[in-house]
Amino acid sequence: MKRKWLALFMAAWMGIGLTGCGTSDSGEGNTGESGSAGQTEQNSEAQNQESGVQESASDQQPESGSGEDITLRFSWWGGDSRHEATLKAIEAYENSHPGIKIEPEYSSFSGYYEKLVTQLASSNAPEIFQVDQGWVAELSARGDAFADLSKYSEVIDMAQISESMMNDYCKIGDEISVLPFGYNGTVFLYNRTLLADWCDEEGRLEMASWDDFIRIGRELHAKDAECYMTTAVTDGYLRYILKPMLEQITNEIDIQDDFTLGFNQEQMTQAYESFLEIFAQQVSQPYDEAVLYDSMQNNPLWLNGKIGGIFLFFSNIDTEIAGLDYDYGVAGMPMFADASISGQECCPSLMVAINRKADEAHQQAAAEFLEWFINSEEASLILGTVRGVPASASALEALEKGQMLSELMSQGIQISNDTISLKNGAYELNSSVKAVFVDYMEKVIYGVSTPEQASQGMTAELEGLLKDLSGQ
Amino acid sequence: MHKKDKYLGYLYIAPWLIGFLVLTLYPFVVSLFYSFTEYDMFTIRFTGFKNYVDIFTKDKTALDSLGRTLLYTAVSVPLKLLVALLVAMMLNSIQRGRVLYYTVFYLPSILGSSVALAVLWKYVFKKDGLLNLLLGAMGIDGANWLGDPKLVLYVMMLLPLWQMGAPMVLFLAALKNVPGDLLEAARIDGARPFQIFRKITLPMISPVIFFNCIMQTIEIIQIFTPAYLITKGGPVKQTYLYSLYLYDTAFRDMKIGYASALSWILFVIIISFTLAFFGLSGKWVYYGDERQ
Amino acid sequence: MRQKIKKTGLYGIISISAVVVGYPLLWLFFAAFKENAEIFTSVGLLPEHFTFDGFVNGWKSTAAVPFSTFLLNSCKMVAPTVLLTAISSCLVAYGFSRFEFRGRKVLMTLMLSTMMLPNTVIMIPRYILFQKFHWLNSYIPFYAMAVMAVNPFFAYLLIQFFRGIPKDLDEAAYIDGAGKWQILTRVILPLTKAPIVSVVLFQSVWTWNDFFNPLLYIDRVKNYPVSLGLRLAIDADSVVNWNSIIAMSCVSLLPVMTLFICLQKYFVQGIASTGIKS
Repeated sequence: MKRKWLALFMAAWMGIGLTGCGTSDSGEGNTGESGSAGQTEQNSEAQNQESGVQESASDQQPESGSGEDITLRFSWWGGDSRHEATLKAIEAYENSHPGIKIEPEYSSFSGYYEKLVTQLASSNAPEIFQVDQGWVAELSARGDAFADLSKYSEVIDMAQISESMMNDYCKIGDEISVLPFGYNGTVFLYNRTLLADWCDEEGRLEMASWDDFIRIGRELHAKDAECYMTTAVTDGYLRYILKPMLEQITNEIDIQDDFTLGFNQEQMTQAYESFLEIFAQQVSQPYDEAVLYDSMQNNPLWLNGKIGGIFLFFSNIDTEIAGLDYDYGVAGMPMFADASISGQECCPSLMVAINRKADEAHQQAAAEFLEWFINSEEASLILGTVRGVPASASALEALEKGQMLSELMSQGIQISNDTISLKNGAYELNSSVKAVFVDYMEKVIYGVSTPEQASQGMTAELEGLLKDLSGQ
Repeated sequence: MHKKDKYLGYLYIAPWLIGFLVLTLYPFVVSLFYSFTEYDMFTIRFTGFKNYVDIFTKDKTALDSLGRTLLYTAVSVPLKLLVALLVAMMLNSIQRGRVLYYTVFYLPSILGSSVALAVLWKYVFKKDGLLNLLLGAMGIDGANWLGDPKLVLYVMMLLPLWQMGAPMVLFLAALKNVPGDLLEAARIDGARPFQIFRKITLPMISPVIFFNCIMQTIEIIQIFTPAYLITKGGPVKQTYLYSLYLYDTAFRDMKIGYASALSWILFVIIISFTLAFFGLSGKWVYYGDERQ
Repeated sequence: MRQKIKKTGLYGIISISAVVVGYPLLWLFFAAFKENAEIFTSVGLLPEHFTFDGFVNGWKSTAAVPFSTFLLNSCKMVAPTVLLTAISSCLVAYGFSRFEFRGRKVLMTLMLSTMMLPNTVIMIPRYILFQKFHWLNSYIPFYAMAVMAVNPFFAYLLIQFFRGIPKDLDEAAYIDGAGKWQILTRVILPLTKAPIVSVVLFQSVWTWNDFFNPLLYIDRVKNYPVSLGLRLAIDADSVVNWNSIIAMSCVSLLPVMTLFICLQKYFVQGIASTGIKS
């Protein structure tokens, strides 16, 4: 009797287990042909990888040879506008290229890197993936993640991207590892309505040096105690204010590509002291208030027009003023009197890579897609500036012809192009390196460390970290 | 007990046993192995006890964040349980408007670690936020709760208190099982409410108190949300809790081996706490299935 | 009279606490009707101008996948997971609490200890495992973990409650000819409805809100659950419509909240149990 019950319960148990999985299967099926096609594709790919771990990539004969459909997975992060435009572009491409299917895998920024690394580590990464400039060096050194795009120089017209950008950011060794979607430079976006007293007759802000910047800020705050000349998010204080100050002092890239520092302790101390002025003179919103906001869009002072201006990448100008009714202008970085470079970051904004583990047919198809996506007029007009101002000359031309750049953005590009600046070091935006900078910057702002102590601690910590990163 | 019942026991726990062998054992063993290596997801090198030695001798960040996490746990867990028990007892003794009250107290837990949580938390605690508005109305000058390094950790301790739905529900479930006639009898005998609580209610719900103690300790010592979502560990690392450091080590610095060692250290700490709890439980936890 | 004052006092305390706990949520709800800038600039509860844009845009969602798909996906992911968790944790808890077998204590400690290793280091090996099983891009990882009671929280919770039931009841049933299975279904389960309902509730809430696991296991946006769908629009370099995000956060609370309201009666002190004696 007991045994019978047991058998019954086991049967019921298994049954439930099966229906559970069954539900999921039918659920998958419901998502349409594309979904199931993708699934098989991926499964076979996974099998390939499993059996082919020891084989080199070239041994894996593409099973989807000519004539058969190819599915490319393409992953990126972003917000609404980027998702929408990219999906539209993908649709357009699929319509004009029957046989190619692009499987979009998009998400928000949070968690994207973690997932990408996990996928790379388990050979399950998409064929095409968006990367941040700060990840490139490390992923390339550790992960061997990127296909060499120089193989596809026939397919992708790389002449559309400026040579310096290719050399500074895309090439690693002899290989071309990544390509830029957009490019960026730091400018100062100011609220002309608020700063009218400090503008000339044509509405240009009369600010060339940090001294001007601080003077205007002091006067502004004295006039209205609620107002501050500037504010930033934590990352912004570092990248748009402290580091430019440092580079203006040193004339050097702060993290050199040979894993050494481009500054010494005195220079860092000097940068910190200048940096602290903007808080001491109440030029910036107090850091302990600014630190709560993840973006200008959450900062009440910015939204209420109480901030003179913000440092930002010119690609983000339209985003930061969306929905606000003030008059804005764009200015260049303030400089120290004896500085010869601006310290602005002029760099690619987002980059794209092809998965090295993908077989040749997929890599080839991915390269063809990227050529269209980056350089073609059709794609550029769909994508606009959702990945920043295009790095490709032909794409930028298409946008200019289609008048798709706002006036402020065009001004920003002009100002940034006219400024002399250094490139970013390969490891300058590495997230571990950046974390050390942020850590000590906060210590200085909160008075936990003096500038001297912080410079000393930071130099030591960075040197240790760079030694680690160099692999010695 | 019959002999064949012995095997029946294994059969009932089989789902977990299989799951353990198939889905849990491998990650555990692998991470233990990684903890003795330098592993960045792509290349691996055996380094013996180096990771562990480094953590205890060189890694100030690890020890600081561990200390902070232990403080956080030591304060939050008892407070959270106390609040949950008090609310459960209040809810247990009302009739009118019950559904509404139950829902209100449980809702914060449903919100979980949603993105809206960060928006909400900052709305309440920022300098010109809700709390300071109320304090201002009473003539008190509010602090900058989330921007002040001295305060922020304590403010963050309120989050688990606000989201105490799970232990509260369990207390409710346990209180429901306290036989009403027993309470009634005590009352007729003239026992004071506090005596009834101490002599009857408390022993009857002790297994659930014990359960909540263990689970909340395990959960809060690994807490990740407040730091990750609201403060990003700042300012000046004052909310940089151990789990966030661990996460950064693994995914930002790509030091999986080191992160595994950090994890196993936490594992040892948690399991010692748990075993200590178990050791003490004989004194105050009362199970209905035990014979006296 | 004294009774009445006490009752009023109790209601007073509980109402104040409810306001403290609930007011921020109420604010969140009304924030969904505000213009973007107002959410971050005003402390007030009610919007200056009611707008339904948040709900309309949020529901349409961007990026080709309507929000209803995310909701549906979450249901597909959560419902079987919850059901399977409830069944598996009952069985495992019964096994541990009512049988004597060799290694029982060790196994139980082992089970509990699996909660103590931080998820961060388990995530990657588990991902690789699921990849080998070809389970990625489906909800099978969630179902499988539920069937196999991988989160010991639930089984251990039920163990605690099962142990509260006097063994005399088992024996009485045994004498009446009940087998082990009947003892579970006819004696133990009816007496532990509230804890089982808690298991259902907690697993629903946690799976519904789970972010990192779906993020890793599911690549395709059309299979995203709500927790991932909600974050799609959050980006530092784009215009973020916070009212849509908050509106959809509120919408995504609804199913779980409804479930809670339906289940809360199980946590109410049974009137029957106080009435029997008198």
